[in-house]
Amino acid sequence: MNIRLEKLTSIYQENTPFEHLALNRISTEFEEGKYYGIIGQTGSGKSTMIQNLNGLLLPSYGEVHVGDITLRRRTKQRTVHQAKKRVGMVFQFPEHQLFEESVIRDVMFGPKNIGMGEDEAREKAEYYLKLLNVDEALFDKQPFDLSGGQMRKVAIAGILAMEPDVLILDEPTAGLDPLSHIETMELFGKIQKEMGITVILITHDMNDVYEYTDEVKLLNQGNLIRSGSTKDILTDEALLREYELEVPDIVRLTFDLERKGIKFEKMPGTKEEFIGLYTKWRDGHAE
Amino acid sequence: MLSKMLLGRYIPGNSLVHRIDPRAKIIAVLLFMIIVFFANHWTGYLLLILFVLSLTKLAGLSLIFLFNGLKLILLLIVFTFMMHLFFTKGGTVLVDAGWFTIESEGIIRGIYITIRLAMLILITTLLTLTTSPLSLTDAIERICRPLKVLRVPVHEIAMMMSISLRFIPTLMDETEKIIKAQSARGSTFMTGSLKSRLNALTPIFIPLFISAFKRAEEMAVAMEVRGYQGEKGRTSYRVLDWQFKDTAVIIMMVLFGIILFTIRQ
Repeated sequence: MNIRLEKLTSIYQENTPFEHLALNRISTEFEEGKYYGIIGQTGSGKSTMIQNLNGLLLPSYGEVHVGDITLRRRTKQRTVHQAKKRVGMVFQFPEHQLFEESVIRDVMFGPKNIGMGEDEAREKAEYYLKLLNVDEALFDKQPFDLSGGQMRKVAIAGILAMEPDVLILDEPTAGLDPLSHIETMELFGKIQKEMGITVILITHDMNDVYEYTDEVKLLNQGNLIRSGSTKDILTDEALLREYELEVPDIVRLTFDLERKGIKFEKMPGTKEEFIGLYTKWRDGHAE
Repeated sequence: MLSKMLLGRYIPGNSLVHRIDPRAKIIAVLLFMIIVFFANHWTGYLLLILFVLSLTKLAGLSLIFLFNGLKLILLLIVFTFMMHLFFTKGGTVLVDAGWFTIESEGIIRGIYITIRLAMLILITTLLTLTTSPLSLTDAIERICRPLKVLRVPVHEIAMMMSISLRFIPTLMDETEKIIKAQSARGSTFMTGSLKSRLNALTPIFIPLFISAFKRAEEMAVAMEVRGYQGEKGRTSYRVLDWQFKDTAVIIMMVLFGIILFTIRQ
């Protein structure tokens, strides 16, 4: 399922003294099965953009096509509900949305809302909780008794259990310890590959964007600046500097080495690739 | 939806209304609350409306904006009007449907009360819209200071007020965030039967309460580590400065009251 934006404009609190243009005539597309990153500074319109993708916000002007569903300014809630079914969203600090008396019931909340029966919902909930390495002993515990990291996993399972076609992640690793950070990102990568779903990631961590995403959309002050392959955009030092974004560690290191005369045959995409290329270079230059 | 609510909101600005000493504004609003009840026929009400409208204009706020922000309160006003319409008797009978009658006195009283309520709400909204919560509580603390003789904890009450005012927008934002998160999980509290809508409130209120309690606790700790111990030894960064224009505001208000009182019938 593709998502297409057509001249999407989003204005907050139109016709009030607080009026604010958050997105300015954005036309772009999210294709099925790809891993996208949305980058840009705070206030660039990233969050507004993703909230338009599943009808949490409706366009002020323009259209959003979610598969065969069209979302416009005055689209009915019933239609919007259909879009929410297909586009799952993990918010920043998702653990703040937990409310049920047990972990399993909280994960079942979403699936049941979109029309799954009790048994099916429980089955999905158990499957995704296990996928996220949540211990079975915790299923019947109160979610508020869990640790922060576990709470986040439960909340993420709650979205995955709805089995959306598109998964939107808004800073999913904010406030996690380094180990959980890697674990979570690896897991989303695995889910994206195995289930073949589209993933859209918002983050300030350029290393994550570089390592995991296929394509990047760069926003600045409500305008779409660039849209293209991750490798092209995140290796463009001048562009990143212009919009005050960090160059990914691997890219910077490779460029630094190049200036010192160590040139790889291609730009490494992951840490492993970097190590591989470096080892190869060393072997080639061994005395 | 919630972002349009104006209750307790402050819009920074530099109009004359903004610059009046908050103490003067509070006293003026209190006076206005009394004056509203002086009006008892058309001219009086007309003057009231004119007065409030010109204040709104002076504060640089648009009426449409105010109206949108106060929609919810409109319900209350309509309800009061209906009560008068059906239950105040007198004058000529306009509609007689057997089990209820609408009489002319009911309509007139209804309109009067509606105007009174609307003006009271508008003027108090103007007060909070043009005065920052901090200076508002500062002013209340100053005005109530004499009560300290009676052992009323004026400072503590003012502090509680300023904290709650300060957190209204935060809680609103938080509510909106949680509503979004739950509705992304397919929760539908905008459609469906009344029962299902009420049920859909649980997933919103529980996370909201939890975060509010957490926030309160963090706030208390943060205040304590910064050495807060009530009023003892506290000085104020902003010092209120009563000027001639503030006295003028009070005098104007009193004059307005006298005018309204003399044209009473």
